[in-house]
Amino acid sequence: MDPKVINSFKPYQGTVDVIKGGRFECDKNKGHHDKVIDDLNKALDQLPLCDGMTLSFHHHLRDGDHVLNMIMTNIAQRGYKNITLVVSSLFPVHAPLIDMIKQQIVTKIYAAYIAKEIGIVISQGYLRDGCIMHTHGYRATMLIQKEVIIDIAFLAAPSTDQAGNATGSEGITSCGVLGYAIADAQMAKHVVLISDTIQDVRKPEIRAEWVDMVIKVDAIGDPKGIVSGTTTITKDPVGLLIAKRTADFVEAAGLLKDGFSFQTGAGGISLALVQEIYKRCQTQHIKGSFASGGTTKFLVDMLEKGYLKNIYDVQCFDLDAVRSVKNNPAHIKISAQEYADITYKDNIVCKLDFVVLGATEIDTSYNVNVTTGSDGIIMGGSGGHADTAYGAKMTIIVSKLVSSRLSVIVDQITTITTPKETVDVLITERGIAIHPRHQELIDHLKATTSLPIMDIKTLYDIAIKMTGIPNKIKHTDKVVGVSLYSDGTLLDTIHQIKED
Amino acid sequence: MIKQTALFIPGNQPKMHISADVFGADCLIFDLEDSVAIHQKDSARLLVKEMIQAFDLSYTEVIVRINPVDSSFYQDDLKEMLQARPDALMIPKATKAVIEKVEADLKHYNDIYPNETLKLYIIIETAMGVETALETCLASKRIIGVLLGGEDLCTDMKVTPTKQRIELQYPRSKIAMTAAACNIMAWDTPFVDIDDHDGFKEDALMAKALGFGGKVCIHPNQIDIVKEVFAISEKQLKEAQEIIEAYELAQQQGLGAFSYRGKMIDKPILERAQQIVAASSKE
Repeated sequence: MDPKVINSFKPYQGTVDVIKGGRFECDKNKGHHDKVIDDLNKALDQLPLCDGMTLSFHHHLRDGDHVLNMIMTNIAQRGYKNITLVVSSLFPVHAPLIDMIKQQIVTKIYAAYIAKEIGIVISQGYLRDGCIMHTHGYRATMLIQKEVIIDIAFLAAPSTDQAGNATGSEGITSCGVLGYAIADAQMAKHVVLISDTIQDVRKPEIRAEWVDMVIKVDAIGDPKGIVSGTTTITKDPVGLLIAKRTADFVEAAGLLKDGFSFQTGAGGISLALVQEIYKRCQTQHIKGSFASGGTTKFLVDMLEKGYLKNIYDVQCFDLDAVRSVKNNPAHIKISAQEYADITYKDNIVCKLDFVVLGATEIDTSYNVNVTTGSDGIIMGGSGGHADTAYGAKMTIIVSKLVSSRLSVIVDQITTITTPKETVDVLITERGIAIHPRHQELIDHLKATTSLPIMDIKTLYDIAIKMTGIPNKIKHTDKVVGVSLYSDGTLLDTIHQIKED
Repeated sequence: MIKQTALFIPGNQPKMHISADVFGADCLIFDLEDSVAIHQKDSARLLVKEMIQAFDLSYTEVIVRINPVDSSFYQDDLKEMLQARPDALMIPKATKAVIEKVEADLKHYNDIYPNETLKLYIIIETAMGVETALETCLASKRIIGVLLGGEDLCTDMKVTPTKQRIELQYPRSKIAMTAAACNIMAWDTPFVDIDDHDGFKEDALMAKALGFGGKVCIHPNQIDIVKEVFAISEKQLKEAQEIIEAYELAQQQGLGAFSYRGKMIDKPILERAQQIVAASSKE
């Protein structure tokens, strides 16, 4: 044998727990030993906290989350500043961040959704380095592609074993799925689970080998807060009319057929739509292949009654969905990457036949805003909006045409969240506007149905006749945030609001 | 114009006003009476006036239910609505004397607020109103429709409304018959359990069988049910068309009487068939 080949191998150093002299650094205890610390302060003392660090949190406990506030309050008390937060979403419960933003403890935020309570201070210009509003799918891309490096991921884990094998399906504060935490767990420099339930875990979503520490606390959140903002079907007659009209459109456009796949939001109109679709599946004996999202009781009903083959779930919006994903093998947990990372070849969004989404604004070119409200203040964010619009064969926006004396259709959109190229239809209580790229569909529906198909500009005129032309939102030239597309490109800038 | 559905909209609810016309009701009844609290009567009046003047509701019939003539709100209601110019006013607690008073007031205001084309719907909602329905319906040429007010009637009769509406059997028949005699529209009383869609449908079917031409709705969800119940079915239309064809054939052959599927067809049956075909073409 060639001596050069023999000499290319380093000599054996002996077997110890941690091998550093060989070609690879190995620690046979990593992933397997007891990582639990039951004192938060002691745990944080052991972490490499410093000014300017980047911390991440997921939002699966939604408005019942205690973890972000618990950790950030402690970090703020230790005097650290200039922290970047990489959070999948922020809810009203995270209001303690407001003072931290004003005091420049937190100076930059990456998020797919920011509730208005926190959005206001960002729109007022308090967040020194601004906010990067991205999609759920792009969050996975940027973490996995290392465009953003997380120093410490603090991940609420409803149930974990001592080594850090964790799941969202078990525990006092079960939230169902931990889809938005997976990329954080895989890629962060340090991964810390915070849990109130330490027990054996059968099917972990987060694997021990990714985890450095487990902090045991009394409670990670309030289970009631997990339930999404709206999980009851709307009783508003206008909302019901829009839902029914959307179901009529979906059926007339040939989208409701055996093997169909779809996603809707969790608002009252969306839930009414799911019920309409369910009824039609029952009467026409149609079985869908899958629904995805954001899951609720109504999708679970369809699955359990056999009208869907699968649900692909990246987050649970109510406790029925939490129960179903735990017990039903046809209800499948997915990560954010599998759900909506458009660089991931087998992503779910690109398999959707249609998606039904909301809007705060839509312009006459079909650009959609779900990031800022009619007052220019950040009050939401893409979430999966732009991702699903990109992937689905048909993107349907549903909204009241006029609400609170304002038209949803605008001549100039405040913030582009989802670009016009990926939006196909707007359905309102006064008419349906279909993008001209679907002229065949327009002609077909006009000839064969009584659906009120009209040009979006006509709908806009109808709205403006009722509301008058609204005053323009006043803002300064200072940019307080950016709206990124699913591929990380810049869609729009968000400006500081001008206050009187 | 087909007027099977009439939707009540509280006059003090602007959110309901701006979407009132999207539900496909044949008529909209903006209400200044029972659905509006006393301390909001004046703002409701102004809201309704502004609504009618600002919005294009030309494809639906616009009706305003004003307050009773013996109330302190009646005169202001009348004056403001004459300026708003709805298609019709709806007069509650109607009797012959009430209608005569309304007619007199309309005539009095005609020079300032021309109202010769203004129509009236009346609500029969007392025991005396039921018994004197014919003279009330004939009290003015403006009257084009009558509504039975079942809840107020039960109060007047001191009976508790039943689910089967037994207490309304006679009044319903009486009002439907009176409307037919006067050749005006008859709308059946509202059904207040808005979540009971099956019960509402049964009630609407009863109303249709008794001869009502439509039913008042107090929730948009009721509109489609009324349309379904009162629609002429394909089977009915086909049969009516066949009767007319058989008649025309008989005429060509110089036959006076003729049969259809083994039944002799006389004039009332033929006229009913012609009404069905005519009504169907308007739907």
